[in-house]
Amino acid sequence: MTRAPVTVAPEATVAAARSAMRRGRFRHLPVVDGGELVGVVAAGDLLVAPGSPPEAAEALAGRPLTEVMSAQPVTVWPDEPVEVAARLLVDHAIGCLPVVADEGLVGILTESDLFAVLLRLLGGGEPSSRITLVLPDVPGALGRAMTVVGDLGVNLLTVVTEPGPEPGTRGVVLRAGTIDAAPVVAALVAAGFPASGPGRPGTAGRPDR
Amino acid sequence: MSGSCALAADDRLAAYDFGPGHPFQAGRLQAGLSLLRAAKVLDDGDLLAFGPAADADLELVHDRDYLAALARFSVPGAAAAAPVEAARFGLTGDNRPFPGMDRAARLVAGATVAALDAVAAGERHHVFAPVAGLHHAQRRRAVGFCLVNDVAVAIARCTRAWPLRVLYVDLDAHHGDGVQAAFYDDPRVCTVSLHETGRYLFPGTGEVHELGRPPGTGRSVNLPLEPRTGDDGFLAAFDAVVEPLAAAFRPDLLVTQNGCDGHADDPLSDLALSLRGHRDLARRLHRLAHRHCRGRWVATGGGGYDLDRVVPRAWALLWSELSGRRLPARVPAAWLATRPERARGAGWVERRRRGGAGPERPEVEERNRRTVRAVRRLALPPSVRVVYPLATRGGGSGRLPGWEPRAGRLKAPGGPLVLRDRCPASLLRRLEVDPGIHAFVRAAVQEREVLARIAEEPAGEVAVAHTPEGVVVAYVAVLEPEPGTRFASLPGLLEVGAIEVASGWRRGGVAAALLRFAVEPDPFEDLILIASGLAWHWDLDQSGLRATSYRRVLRRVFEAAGFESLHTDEPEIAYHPANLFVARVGARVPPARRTAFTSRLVRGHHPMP
Repeated sequence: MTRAPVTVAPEATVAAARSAMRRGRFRHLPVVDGGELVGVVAAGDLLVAPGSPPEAAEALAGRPLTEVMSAQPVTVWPDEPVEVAARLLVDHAIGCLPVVADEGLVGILTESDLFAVLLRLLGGGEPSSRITLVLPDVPGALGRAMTVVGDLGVNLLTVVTEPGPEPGTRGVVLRAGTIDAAPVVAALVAAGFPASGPGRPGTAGRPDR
Repeated sequence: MSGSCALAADDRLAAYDFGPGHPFQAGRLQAGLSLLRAAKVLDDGDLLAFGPAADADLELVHDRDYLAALARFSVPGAAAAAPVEAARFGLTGDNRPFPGMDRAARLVAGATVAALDAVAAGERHHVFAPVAGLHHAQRRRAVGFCLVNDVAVAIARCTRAWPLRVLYVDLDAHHGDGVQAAFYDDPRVCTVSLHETGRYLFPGTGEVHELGRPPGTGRSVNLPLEPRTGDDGFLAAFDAVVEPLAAAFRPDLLVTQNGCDGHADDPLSDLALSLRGHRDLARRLHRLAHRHCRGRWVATGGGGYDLDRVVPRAWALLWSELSGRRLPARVPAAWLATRPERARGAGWVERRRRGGAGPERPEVEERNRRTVRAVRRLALPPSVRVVYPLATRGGGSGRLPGWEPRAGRLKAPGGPLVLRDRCPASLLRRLEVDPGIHAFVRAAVQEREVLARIAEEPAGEVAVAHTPEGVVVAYVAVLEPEPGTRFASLPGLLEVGAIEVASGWRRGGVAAALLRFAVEPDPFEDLILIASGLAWHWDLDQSGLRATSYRRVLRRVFEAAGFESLHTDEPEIAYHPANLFVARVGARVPPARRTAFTSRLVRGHHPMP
């Protein structure tokens, strides 16, 4: 989330909110009245429909935010896990959540923040190879497969599992911190775990002396 | 020419060795050098002198505490004693420390530094540094067998010492992430990486939209290609982007990373290239160096892990191309006999190019075509795309009906000018071009050819302003939008593909006057004209303006000619706030066509607020 976000007063105009968004390069603004959160405006609330006459845009620019904001927005506590926030965004089809603690508004969480979390969870931010495998959905399978990788001296950056392609299976996506993924895939396959990834086990590293 | 080439490698580099069983080991160097010697294409006089890179150079790219860690963990046993600390600097797994690695890494960087110094100073035309091109190393981390980023170090040193613009072309199967990161905001260093897509392959980056950061936006270019692309697809992508990019960027020095791990036999990737493909790429780079960089070229060896059959041959082919030394007809039998694994026929290259994919081929080709189109649109100014076309343009749907060529007069602050429209190619080839017109190509002669080629396009229209002596100081080019772009399929729509005023003639109202003149003829009232300006294509160096001020200037010029600035979510325009999109809808354009155009401006898939 963004701590201590920029806020606007309810009587501020649409034009003022637009310029605050442009300056700060963001798309969501909490509306705060005397320290209390009363609404949220998103960039889309501040636009007229494409093709509207120019007068409509001018008229909108001068209106107060109370007329366009979403009043009584859905909020979230600062100590909630990220999946709770994600579910709120999905269930309510909204793009941001003001983060509210006892003392009032402390931050704002947007879709972009969740993308950053997703990127971190899937390991897309670090140099790595992507390996996928399918495991039987039984206790211990994941552990055994990961031991195979660890025994090769390859570090795992992220491991994500989800329901697999067949009932009774789990799909796993690994981000392995190696440029040479083929031996990892080969070892997994040899241990009975169907896996795929880039490259092929071949002649890399055969001594040539 | 051969006397002016050099090889920046000797047996000392065998110290860069992660040990037996590791893909990056001393055997690479020995296999490669032994083949060059056996083929009698290497003399001792070819070897460039070099020493370990100095701290001052390495610190241009790496943090001091990382360099200290490299030294500390070079001592046997040090990493085992502090494994977590070593891992923090990436010194584990792929990059397991070995005794003396600090000095070995400094030698690799020293070779590349010496290579760039020699070429930049004009002492050598071309230098090949085979054990170099460690393109993954980060500021404070070893990555993917790369302990120091020798290429970034050498380029950083060179661009600091000389006023040079460097074009870095990375052909390794893996994205050149470390070099890209080192110059991500630097407009003097243009990095272009062709690699297997990072969807699965290490390091996972190198997407089309990694374009750089201001003021270097547009100077990081990435071509992520599909697994099983094959030679033809790879070469097509290279041709569609690298040569025109060089024409647009006007480099002074070419640095290449010629990793051969894209080869079909290489265990680390799936690009399915052949040695024939690698040889063809080397030829193209050589030609590019002479066409655009006055011959200044440093090639580095990069990755490649089939040590018996591929790497030595790939190095020999590259060295032969670069040095002009002819390889014998066959790979020397004595060299082949040393290890049976080296044989793959006695030829240097395969009999034919690799086609790449089997049954999935149409899909691979289509995806690569899409990637190439997107990259061209993002990285190449419109006029350069015209001169280096991907394919012939559409069926002339926006063809202009004829009108008599006109001439006008303009009293500009710099002197009287003649305005002309409907310029045929033959006329343009006879006019001179002011050397102050140079946004896109280095020599004014080439710029004249750009204009002539636009005039030869099916719907191409060129209007110029020239002095009474016949020197072109400004031009406006109108043409059909490039196929596959958002507005291309609309009937009766053309694009103002380029507008430029010579640097000595700017700020005198020439652009506005010429544009007004160019769109005055009556047939334009039946057409929609669009124009877009991507901030990083603009001639900011020359104009001394910031992107936003430049946008204002450009917008005023277009508005004076009846264009209107419009909002669009066309991704390349929307990508940057300083980009500009304008259109002029002719008075007789029927309402239905007008609506079809405006409905295409915003496709709108904005998430709910």
